[in-house]
Amino acid sequence: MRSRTPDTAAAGSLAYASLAQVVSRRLPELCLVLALLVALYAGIIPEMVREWSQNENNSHGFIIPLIAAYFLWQRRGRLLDAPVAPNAAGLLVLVLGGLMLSLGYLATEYFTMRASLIVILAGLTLALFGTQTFRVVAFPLFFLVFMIPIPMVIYNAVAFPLKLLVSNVSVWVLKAVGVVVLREGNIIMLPDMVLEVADACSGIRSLVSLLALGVAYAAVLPLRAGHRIALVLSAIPIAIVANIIRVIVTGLLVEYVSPDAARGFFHEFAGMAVFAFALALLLAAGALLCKTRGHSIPEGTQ
Amino acid sequence: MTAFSRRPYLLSVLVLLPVVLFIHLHENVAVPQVRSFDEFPASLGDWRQAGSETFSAETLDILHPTAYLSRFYVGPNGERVHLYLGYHGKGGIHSPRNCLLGSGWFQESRTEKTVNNIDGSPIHLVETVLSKGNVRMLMLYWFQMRDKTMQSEYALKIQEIINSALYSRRDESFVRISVEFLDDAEGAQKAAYGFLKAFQPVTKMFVPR
Repeated sequence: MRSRTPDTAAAGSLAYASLAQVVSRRLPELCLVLALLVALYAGIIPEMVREWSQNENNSHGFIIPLIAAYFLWQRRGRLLDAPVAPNAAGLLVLVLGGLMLSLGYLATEYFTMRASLIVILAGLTLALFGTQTFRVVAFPLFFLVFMIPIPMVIYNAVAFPLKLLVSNVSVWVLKAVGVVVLREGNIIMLPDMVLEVADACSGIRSLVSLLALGVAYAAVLPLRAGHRIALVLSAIPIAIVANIIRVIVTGLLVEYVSPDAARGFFHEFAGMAVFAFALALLLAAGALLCKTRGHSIPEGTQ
Repeated sequence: MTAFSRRPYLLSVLVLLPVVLFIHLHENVAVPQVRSFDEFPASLGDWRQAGSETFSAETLDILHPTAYLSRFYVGPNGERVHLYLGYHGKGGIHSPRNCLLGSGWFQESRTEKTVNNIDGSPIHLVETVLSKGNVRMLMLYWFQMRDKTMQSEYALKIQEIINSALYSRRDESFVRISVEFLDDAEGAQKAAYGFLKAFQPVTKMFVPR
């Protein structure tokens, strides 16, 4: 996202028109395209929102469009000034998005159907307004990918090893500090309580939210590209460590306080606390990266 | 194309309109079962039914089968086999990978095999051994769409696309035969395949062609 002043790259096109001018002149056509978009996604998007509200693994979906909208709002100046030059390549992207949606529909593959919205929006932006406008909206647009619940197959492929890792490390630490504990897969047996390292504690639930926040955070910090990627990737170990701590604290509570206290901690308080802790770690990682020689392009800040 | 050109809008409509029509006009038919699972034989050859299972509302809410059968059978040498048949008239099978691996079961092995039916038609199935503590379980499972059997969720997806596009139907079944054991892996395997051989011709009669 390194778009400079709007007028440098549009030299190729003959007409220099801003997005605002084009939108007001082509409003009926634009409305027609939007109506088609609504017809395409009227069944798909509400279904996704329902999943955000019903499945805790996906509840972060509600915040993602808001963050994306915020990024778009920040760019409104550049967006309205960007010279419009329709790009035929956008039509290809549009065809690709249409195929994605059709195939996803045939297979009832929700991820594909939902993700096609982003591809179609990208295609439309390119086709109707061109590269300059696309560059401005690309980041907020692709950020929307985090709002789509990840497919079950991938979720499980990632969640299961994470669960085992969290249980392994937690049990090792608990044993090291003298807590009597047995482990069977992702089930941890303490003297008075059986803990199941479920999805919630494997870290994957917080991992997706944390990755999304990491991307948003990396985008607002004045960092070099490499440091930005490092910051986003740091969300992975942070989510895992935070969840290991959750299981260890629960184990210690069973041993030294009471199983009831542990149960309360584990199920109600811990989720929020662990996420807050992980977020604090992420903020710290960002601050640390800023202090090292990370910031080189101050104008890269949005 | 200039900035104000109308062409990109018209072309975009040209691309999107067929997709809109397709999505709103293409509908899969819910295919009813050929016959109810109630008619599934309680005994066949040397195998006798020894109990059945009714799923809780929560389980059904996740699995969403149109109809299902969950029964235990006891074989000629007292071996106990569990059979699960899930029929999904409009698609949407819940893969066993989703549940078992989350609830403490650990996958020891997974092999893809092809065995032949009595009539010579192949069954592409997965043979997997899972363990939880010292209990182990041998499981044979496969997905079935019309007369095709599949081993993976991905193959199933592709077949769903093909069947939906060609025949507007997405009915599919999931078949799982499992045997719990402590250390006699060979015995478990023998029991599972013995059961499979005996029941496959019957199982087939419950899957819409």
